[in-house]
Amino acid sequence: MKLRTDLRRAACSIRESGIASVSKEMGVIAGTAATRPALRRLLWFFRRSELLVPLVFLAAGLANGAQPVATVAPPAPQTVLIIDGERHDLSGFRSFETGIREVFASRPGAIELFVEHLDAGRFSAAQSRQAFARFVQARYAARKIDLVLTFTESAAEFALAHRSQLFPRVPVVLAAVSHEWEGARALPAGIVTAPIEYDFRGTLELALTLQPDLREVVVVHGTSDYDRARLDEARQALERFAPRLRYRTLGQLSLSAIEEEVRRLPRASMVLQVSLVQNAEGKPIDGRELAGRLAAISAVPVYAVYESYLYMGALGGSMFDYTALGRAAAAMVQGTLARVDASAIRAADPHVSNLLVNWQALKKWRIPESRIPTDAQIRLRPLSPWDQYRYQILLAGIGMIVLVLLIVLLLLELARRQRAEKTLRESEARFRSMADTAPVLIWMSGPDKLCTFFNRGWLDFTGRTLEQEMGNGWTEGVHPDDLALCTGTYARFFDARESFAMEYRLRRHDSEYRWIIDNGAPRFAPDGAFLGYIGSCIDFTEHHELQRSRQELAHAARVSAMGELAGSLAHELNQPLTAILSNAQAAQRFMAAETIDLREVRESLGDVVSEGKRASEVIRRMRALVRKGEIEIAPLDIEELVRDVAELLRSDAVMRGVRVVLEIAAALPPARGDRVQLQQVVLNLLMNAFDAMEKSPPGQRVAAVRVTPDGPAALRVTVSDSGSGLNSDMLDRVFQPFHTTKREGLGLGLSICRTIIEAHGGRLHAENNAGAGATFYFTLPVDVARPARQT
Amino acid sequence: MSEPAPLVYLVDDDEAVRKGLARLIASAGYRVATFDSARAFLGRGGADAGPACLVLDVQMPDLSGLDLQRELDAAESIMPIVFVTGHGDIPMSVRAMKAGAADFLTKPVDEEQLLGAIGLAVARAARDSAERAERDAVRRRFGSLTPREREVMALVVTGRLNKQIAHELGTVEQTVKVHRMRVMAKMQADSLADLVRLAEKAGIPRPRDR
Repeated sequence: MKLRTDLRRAACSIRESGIASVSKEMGVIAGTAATRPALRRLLWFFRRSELLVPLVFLAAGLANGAQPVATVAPPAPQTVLIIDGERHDLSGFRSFETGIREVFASRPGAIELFVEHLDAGRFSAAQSRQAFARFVQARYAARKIDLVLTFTESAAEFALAHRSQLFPRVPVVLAAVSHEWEGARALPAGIVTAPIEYDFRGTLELALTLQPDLREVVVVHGTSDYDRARLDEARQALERFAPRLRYRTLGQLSLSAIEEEVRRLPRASMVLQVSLVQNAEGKPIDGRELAGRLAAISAVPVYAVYESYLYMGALGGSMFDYTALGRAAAAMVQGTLARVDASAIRAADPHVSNLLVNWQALKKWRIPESRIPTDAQIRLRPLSPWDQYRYQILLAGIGMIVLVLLIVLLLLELARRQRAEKTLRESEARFRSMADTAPVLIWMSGPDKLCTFFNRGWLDFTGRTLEQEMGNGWTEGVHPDDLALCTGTYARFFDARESFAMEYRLRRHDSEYRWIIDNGAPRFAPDGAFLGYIGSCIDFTEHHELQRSRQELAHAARVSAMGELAGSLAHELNQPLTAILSNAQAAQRFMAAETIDLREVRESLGDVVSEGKRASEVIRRMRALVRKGEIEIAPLDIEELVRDVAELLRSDAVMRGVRVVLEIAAALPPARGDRVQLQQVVLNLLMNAFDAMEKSPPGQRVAAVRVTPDGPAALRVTVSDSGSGLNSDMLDRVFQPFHTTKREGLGLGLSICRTIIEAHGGRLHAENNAGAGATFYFTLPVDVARPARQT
Repeated sequence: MSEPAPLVYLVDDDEAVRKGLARLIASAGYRVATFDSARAFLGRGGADAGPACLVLDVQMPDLSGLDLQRELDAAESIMPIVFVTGHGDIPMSVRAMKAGAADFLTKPVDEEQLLGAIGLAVARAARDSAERAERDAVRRRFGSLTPREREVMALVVTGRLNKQIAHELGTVEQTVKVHRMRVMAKMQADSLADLVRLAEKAGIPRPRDR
């Protein structure tokens, strides 16, 4: 019957509350249904379908015990009753409670706290104990208490005494009891302690650190049992510091006597205020109040082990941290409620004291800050504005710094800009002064090809104003014959954004046209934008004339050479002419015969034609050589060039009994140069060779022309003779102008040849042969546009 | 007459000129033999059949035309040479003519000039060979004289009387007469003038006049 009721209650619980209570119910059921038949019935109950769904939750709940599941309503909190042995307003308990609530806050709603104050200090009579017990019992009759937590020994005593009456079988945690209190009792099962340890030793060490010349310790203490227990602890610590520190106790004196004594204490001593619950006169004492009075009137610093005394004026000490104790006690409470072995928790941290120093007292006793140990905490330090408004000050400071930085940056930027402007102005001025004083003509144009600037030199040269020349006005001064080429070249290179050099005639202020060489280059901004062109021009009329003269001279030399060859050239022409005439006349005769031999006639006429072509070839060679005109640099077939010259000289060679040998390498790449001028060189060298061999016996006159590659980019041409050779000091002098060993001629031939070859990028040298005669040789660049000719 | 046409040798290093000239000369009815160099001509071998002349270029590699003329002279050739040159100057032509050239023509050569010169040269060649043949004959006849007859002949051609000749030679007039008759017969001379002419032709040396 009871089982069924219980099961029904379990079903209700599943529907209404949470697993925790279910598990509690089931625990009860399990407890009561220990017999087999009951178990069978239990199982039969569970087979009912309405319980299948929550079966999972049930299992989880049983497994997890008190753990709530998120989807289930929170379980009812456990009740913890705290019994404080003293008054409610003591800072010790307040700290303790803070620590407890801190730990319980991590799991809100799990524990409900109740606090009762025994106030044993003011209500010491046994009757008040009884009244209190009755009060507690009455109050908590209806409430189930899961755990009792006591604070201070008086509360612990009370709890032990009234446990069976008030909360039988409820676990109890005794906090803030001393070790000897604990040692003097045999605690029953289910009771654990979170003890206090007062660190008198640490306090004395702090005192010695702050007052290195300390000699005597005056101990102020009370007469209650508690006080005596504390005094014993202090004595034990003090014994350790003998003989360095002496001590005496003032416990037997009245309060006013104590105060008098304290007032007259010598230097190098200290007051150690140990617990004073009840003094010699039997009065209960407010320890804090006393601490304050003592600190005020004492001639020396006062030390204590209670943090609250610090706030009343004590200098410092190794003070018990009630908050830490509260945390430890709370952990023990949780552990006990969760059935974990509480002793393990207790063993974690028995020492819960902090070194505390009162800043104001420190200042009062003029103790230097440097004596404060690094692990000491400083209290009562007046909050400087820095401490109070740290964030605001920081923010304001940062804001100020940012503002200042911005201002500085702006100023720097301004300065930089001014500097840049100044530099720009200076560079403009420098450019202008340079442009105007340079002896060249300078112009500038914008991206639209129109000219924007002409320097002093240009304007002085042309005798025009800047306005007249700007834009396209300058073209009015260009010679009409050169205008098309000039503007065309300018436009073409401008569009390609490339540098150029061009020559044209520009009218000078005296109306004379002067040859100008104009070099233009594109201008770009630092970011790569195209800005236009800048150019400089020089009047190189004399040089131009000189070049012309040189060309004329070369031409004259060629013509002169032709003149020298006139005889042999005439002979060259005569051969084909003879053949033509003979063949034609023979043909006439054949035609006049009785039987016309047509074959002969045809052959004759055929020879006429081919010999006519041969004659025109000779004329062509001659004309090519005496051509007067601009230099044309083009790819050349050197073999053809050399053979042409040899043909031209064939008759001359025969006449002078010279054998001409040509050795030209196969598959030569084309050379690069002016055909006419190079032929002139070869012709000149060969004619010189012929001249050199005049005195040689006939049959030993051999002139050889050899062409070979000279590396991958050049050709080498040598002309050698078997004549008398050159004196070694003449090897270079022959190239001087007006040097000649011949009766006729100006002696310019070789100097012109050297100039021509040098203009082609080569060098012309002479050497004596190992055997007879001399060799002249020069190199020519290969035309790189085309590959080597295939033979 | 079934004599072969006269032969013209042609030496010129220029092939076109050679062919053209050869054609022209052949068209005039001559036989032409061409050579491209003086050396080739010199090495031709074989005897010349009939009159022949040489048409010769001057400017040639190796042996020039003038060199060849010198060579032929040294070999006592009587072949007439007609020089044809593309490069004629006065000193060269004078040299050639002095050395006995038949003619010296410049290119481009006119056909009439050339053929005329060849004709003359050929005729001269013929005449020369005829003359040489005749001289050889006379020399042969002279060779057939005895030494005494030669002595007599040498004196006869000086116009001496038989008596004088006899006195000089230390013999009688009758002997001289006999020798004289024999000389006249062997020399095939018809008269004293004839004999004198033959003697000159043969190149017989005249003794000193007294």
